[in-house]
This record gives sequence, C-alpha cells and structure tokens, in this order.
Amino acid sequence: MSLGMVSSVMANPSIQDATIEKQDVVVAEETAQIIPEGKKLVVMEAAPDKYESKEAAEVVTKLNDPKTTITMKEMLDILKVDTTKEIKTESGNVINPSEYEPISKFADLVLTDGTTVEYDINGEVKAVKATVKAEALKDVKDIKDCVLMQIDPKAGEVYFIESDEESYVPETGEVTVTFPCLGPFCVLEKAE
Amino acid sequence: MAMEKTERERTRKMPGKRRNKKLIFGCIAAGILMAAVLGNLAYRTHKAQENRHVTAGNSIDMKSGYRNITYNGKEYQYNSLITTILYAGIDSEGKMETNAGYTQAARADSISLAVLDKKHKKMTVIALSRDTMTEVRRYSMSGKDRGMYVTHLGYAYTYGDGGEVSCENLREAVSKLLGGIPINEYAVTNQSSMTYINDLVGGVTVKVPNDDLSDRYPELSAGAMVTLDDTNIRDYLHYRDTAKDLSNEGRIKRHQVYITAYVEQLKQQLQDDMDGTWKKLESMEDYLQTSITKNKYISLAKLLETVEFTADDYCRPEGQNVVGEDHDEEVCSNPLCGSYVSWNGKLCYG
Repeated sequence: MSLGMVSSVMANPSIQDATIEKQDVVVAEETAQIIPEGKKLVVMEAAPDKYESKEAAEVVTKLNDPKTTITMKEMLDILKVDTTKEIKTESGNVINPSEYEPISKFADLVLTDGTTVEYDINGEVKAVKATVKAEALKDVKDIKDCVLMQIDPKAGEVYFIESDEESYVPETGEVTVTFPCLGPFCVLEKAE
Repeated sequence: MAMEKTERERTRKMPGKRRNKKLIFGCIAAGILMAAVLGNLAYRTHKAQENRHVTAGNSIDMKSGYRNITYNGKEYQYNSLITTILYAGIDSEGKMETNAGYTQAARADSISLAVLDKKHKKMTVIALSRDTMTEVRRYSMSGKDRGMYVTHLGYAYTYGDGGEVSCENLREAVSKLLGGIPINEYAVTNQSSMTYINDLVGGVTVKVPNDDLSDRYPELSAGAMVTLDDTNIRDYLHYRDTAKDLSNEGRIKRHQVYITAYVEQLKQQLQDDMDGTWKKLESMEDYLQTSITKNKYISLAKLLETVEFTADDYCRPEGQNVVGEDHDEEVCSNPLCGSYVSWNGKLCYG
C-alpha cells in the first residue's frame, strides 16, 4: 500500500486537544483517486450543527460538551442501536459496544477545499482508507481493545472500526483504517 | 442558645410518660430521617463516583514515600524544611469551572515549582516547559483511570476535570518528573487571572528580555522598560509566535524577568498588608484554583518574607529542546530532570 503524504511547512503548533487533534489526513492510493482535485481529507473539530441526522448531532454534542456526561448506553440508545441483536464491526467480528467507553471526543473526518466542508464525496457516501492520528491512541495497552466509532452524519448509521498491530503506530497513535463514510468518529476502549 | 431554651421550656410543660414517649418517637423519627438522608447521600455519591476512579495523587505514598526518596539507587531522607509550591497557568479564558467530564480541560501553558528553603533562607523557581516529555496519568471521558503514558507535561491538567482532579494530576506528573519529591501546595490560574495577579501587587515594571514580541507589539521590544498593567500583561506573559520553532523558550525567559520583579513586590506587599493581600486573593476565587488555605497562606507568606530570590534563582532542568513530529518537545538530560541551571548557565541544583 502506498500512502500520499501531506506535510506542513509551518513550525510546530502548540499542543491542542488531548484526544484527537486537527490534522491533514494521509490517504491510501485508492482513496486518493476518488478525492476531487483541489480537495483533501482532514480531521477537524466536530460540527454537529452541519449534520442531517439529529441523533448523530445529539450524541456528538453531548459527548463533546465538557459540561455534560453521556454513557455508552445513552449514546447507543439515542442512535437507536439495537443492542439485543448481534452487532458486527466493519471487519465482520462480533462486538458488544456496551463493553466499551469513549476515550476521546468526536472529531469530524471531512473533505475540504480549504473553505467549504463536505461530508460526502461528489454527493455520494464513499468509504475512505486513511491514516489518522489520535493522542488517545498513543501507547495503548492493546490496540485490539480499541475501536473507532463512526456515525454517518446523514443517516445516523453507526459503524465500529477495528485496527490491528500492523496498522497501528503506538509512538504516534496513528491507525490506518477504512472509514465507511465521512463524518464524526471517536475512539472507544474496552472497559476493564 | 435562644432556641435551646425554648425547647427546654416546651418539654418542661409535658407530663412525664407522654414526654418520654414523644422523645423516644422523636429520636426514632430523627434517626430514620438521618439514615434516609445519609443513605441517599451515600448512594448519590457512589453513583456519581461510579465512573470516576480518581487516582491522581493517590499513587504517591504520602507517608513513607514522602520521607524517603530513592535516587540512583541511594536513599535520601526528604528535607522537611523545604516547601514546594506548584504554579501553573492554564490556556483558558473566563471563570475556572470544574467540568462534568474528563480529558477536555485546557492545557497547562506555564508550569513552575517554587522551592522555599527555610534553613538556607533561599527560594528557587524551577521553570518546567509544558513540552517536557514525561509520564502523565490519563483518563477516559468518564474519568476511568487509563494509567500513565509519556506525553507533554502540559496535558496533565487537560486529562482531569478542569478542577481539583486536573490540579492533582498535574501535581502528580510534576512530582514524578522530579523523582517523586513531595509538592506541598499548588496554585493554578488561567489567562483571565493574569490581570488579577498583576493587580495584586499593583503592576510590575520589567525590562523586556528578548525581541520575541517586537513584530506584534513594538512597545515590547528587547530592552524596553515597561510597566505591565491590564492593557499589556497578557501580551507579555502569554503571547508566542507559534510559527517559530521553540518559541515557548522565549516566553519562559519573559516569565523569569516578570517573576523576579513580582516576588520582590509581593514580599513588600505582604509586609505592608498581609490581611489585605489575602482578601484580594479571595476575591479572585473564580480565577484561582489552589490548595492553599488561609492558615497555610499566613505561614507561607511569613516564609516568603525571609527567603532571598534573584534572577539567578530562576532555573530550568538541563535538557534538550527538539522539534517533534507534531509539537516541540523537551527532554531532560538527567532521567529525573535532576540537575538545574539558571538562564546564565549557573548550576542551581545538581
């Protein structure tokens, strides 16, 4: 797999968010081919007011608001995830999301030309393979205990994305995964 | 007292057995009510704490560990005549309020440790870069302890709740960075506190030490004598050009000049009006988080009056600044940041 690199000419900024910082995203070659010219994938602060799904907006707003708390169960309830049925990750493994809890707030994976922000690619929901960096994922005990939870900002659909040792860099907290859509994602860790 | 008398008068009017019965029923009712209230309180406290396993500060043995420190395989007895106060300036605006959740508090921008040596009548301030790479305890969003990992010291406050847990988390990280030394007290402020702190001593006059601010604030060019007040204190203490590598270094140098002048004025102010100074501190309650109570304040103020402090006593750990992949990083040359130099290269401790 070859990855398209994006580098910054600016000096290092101050430390920002302790969970997922704003960043330009490194994408896989197959994803680079579907990204329109002049646009790039970035991770930015979540903007729930731009989501079409009210449920997605509510969950993201609540988790990201430092003045409120929300449990995993409450998030799943709002998102209408039926936990009585078998839930699978994007890799096809069975997961019980109730056993996990958020270790980061939500950030948005979006397409931008530097001015406007889009939650789809040419009007379509498309999967993207990308490397994202999260402080929350640095030096975790076992990457298998962590999953990314992504919500489709249009339909409110919920996805659980696994990572593995091969696609994980503990020193930087980088994971290379396939996101089923653009939109908000956070990091979950299995509660002991 | 007036209420007690009325109660006694009322009971005196009751006939013997009936009075006793009423008393017994009253006691039982009060007991049940008390049990219900305490039970409810305990339940609510338990529920509130259920997801919050706050361990910062608890990981250090406050008894034996604070008397002995093992360093390079040798055991040292802690000098109880030394008092340490952690100061941190937080990168936030407005009132300093505790959050409901964790990991979303602001970053500690400016971190220093005042070391007051009662025996040698000396004070040293150790300035720690918030980019110092060290062990920090982190939490989940709901407050579950995720253990320690190596990151920027400035994140230690962020991982807490923006209140006491954040302060304790930073205290723990600084203590561990410095080999487990006890940190007796802490005081944390934010950007909105700067004017209060400066006003506490009636403003401070400094000689600007570098040109880091000259492009943006020409009046704050190197060598200029400036009296810092509400209009410029934040520019002087907080601003840094993030487009310049390692610009935090220049800011620490400005802090050194400010603190040296500030301590002199504070000592004078305490001599003149110790009570009035405490009242001013109390008035900035929304912009100050501290473990210092009034009793502790009085003893610390008296200790501060006796110690000497010069610009040479403003020290930093010997180490190396490096441009990391995403942010600047500082790595101590000594594993426990155990040797310190002043800005003119003089060895403070080693």
